[in-house]
Amino acid sequence: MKTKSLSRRELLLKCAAVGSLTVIPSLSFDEAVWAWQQSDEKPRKPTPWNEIGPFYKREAPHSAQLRRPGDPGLPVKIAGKVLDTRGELLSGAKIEIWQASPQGVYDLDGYDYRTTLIADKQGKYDFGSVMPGHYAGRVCQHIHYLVNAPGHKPLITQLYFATDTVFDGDPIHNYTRDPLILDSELVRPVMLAGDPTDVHALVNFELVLERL
Amino acid sequence: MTLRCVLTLALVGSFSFGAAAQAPQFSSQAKTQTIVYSSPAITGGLAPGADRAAVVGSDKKVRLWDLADGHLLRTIELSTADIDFTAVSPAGRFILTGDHGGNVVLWNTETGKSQFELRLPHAPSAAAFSADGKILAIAPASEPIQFFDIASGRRLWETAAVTGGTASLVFSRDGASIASADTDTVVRIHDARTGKLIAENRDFLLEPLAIDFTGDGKQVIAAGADKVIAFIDASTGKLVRKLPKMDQPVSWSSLKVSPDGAHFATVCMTAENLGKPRPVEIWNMNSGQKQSEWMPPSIIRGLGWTHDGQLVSVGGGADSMLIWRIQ
Repeated sequence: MKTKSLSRRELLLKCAAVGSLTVIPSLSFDEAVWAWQQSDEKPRKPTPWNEIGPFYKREAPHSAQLRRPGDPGLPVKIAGKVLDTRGELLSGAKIEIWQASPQGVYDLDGYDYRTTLIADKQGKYDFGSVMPGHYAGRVCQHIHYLVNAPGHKPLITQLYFATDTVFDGDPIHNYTRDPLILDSELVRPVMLAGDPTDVHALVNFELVLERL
Repeated sequence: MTLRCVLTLALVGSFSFGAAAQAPQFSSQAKTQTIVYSSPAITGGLAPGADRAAVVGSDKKVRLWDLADGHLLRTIELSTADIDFTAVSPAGRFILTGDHGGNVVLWNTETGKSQFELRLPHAPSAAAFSADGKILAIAPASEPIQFFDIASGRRLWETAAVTGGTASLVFSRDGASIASADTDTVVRIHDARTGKLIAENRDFLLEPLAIDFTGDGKQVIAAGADKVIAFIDASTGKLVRKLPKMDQPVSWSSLKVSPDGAHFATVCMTAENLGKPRPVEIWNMNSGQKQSEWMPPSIIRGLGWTHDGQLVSVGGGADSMLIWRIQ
């Protein structure tokens, strides 16, 4: 059955009606909803641009797992949301991703370590891969992104890892060691998760697009 | 990373001109010259006609060299050594420099002063001068190609935006058209007098990186990470023919058609090892057959034909410019 999605206000009203949301007496319901909406729609800075590089390849097939069984390198799970600068989620945004192999080589003949993802209804995306190797000619490990959403300026950027040895543990001060990194925001923290037999890295990378 | 046909050499102060430090190892066809620098170079560019080269040094100076005899023609003081991009106009009359922040200056080498200055959103990723030296086209990274009247500095027009921007730009010899190898993997041909799109070719899956017009301007030759050399009809964008795939992943750095239009020369880098030299290859335009090749001792950073048909290859390291001439 097709259901109509509720606005934030309608959803909160419904929650209040069934008792799953209560508002403290000092705050009116309208004030609470307004504050919630403001929080949702907080203006955001666009994700910094970073150059596309020479190895973009069109028509990468969809795959949420770029790591194949037996691939060397630390497994990594990368996730985030796609939004615009008003904080609106961009469901259906097309996210093209490509990276070097753990050996630092781009696959030019096929589509290894390349994928095209579509942001889900909550604007979320995620994929699994391995930490990219250091590509000859570049200083830092990186993953390329090209994001398109109707009515928005395409976003071209790169994701870097705070754990990259190049930064000596201090990416805030040392990110310029790679002259192509223009903004430390692109260097993302890394969290290690899993158990001793299956350790993997987790990285969150939010993608904020500008409206046309 | 960005791959540009630039000289990332080092230069300053004194230089000497004479016998090569490293002789060509695989060919007796190449004659070599060396220009030695006294401080590290940042970036550089080779003029169309391969008769001049400009090199930006870490001492915040750009120097223009006459490649025929190694003579230093002009030294211009810059406000910064943080230069990412350099291009040289025909006969070296103008030098374009651009920094990471998008500050672009066109230097007049006759006066040593700025012809005009621009603030662009990003550093140029490509630029080209029309053969008559009157129009300058600049493609800032991720931005449309912008056309400028060199005499007045007036911005004339721009092309429509493309995702990612442009890797390589070239005017047709009559100045009527301009072809771009764009990072969204499309080769586009624009009317250079209006900036309007004439034709586009979408046969590449990977980025085309090097591009030139045939002598008659009817076709565009493009080479890219797809490992093919494609001939494209400049009026329709349709693929005319393709030369066989290369045997290993390459990043093309330069493709230049000879003055008589009978040949074209290419040089590329090995994608898996950008520091590994690859041969300079000369192809027959009509047959598409490789006519000769020459393996340089170090990677080639600039390639061009002189007006009398000599192929000039420029390479070198942090301290010198090496110039090889292939008859």
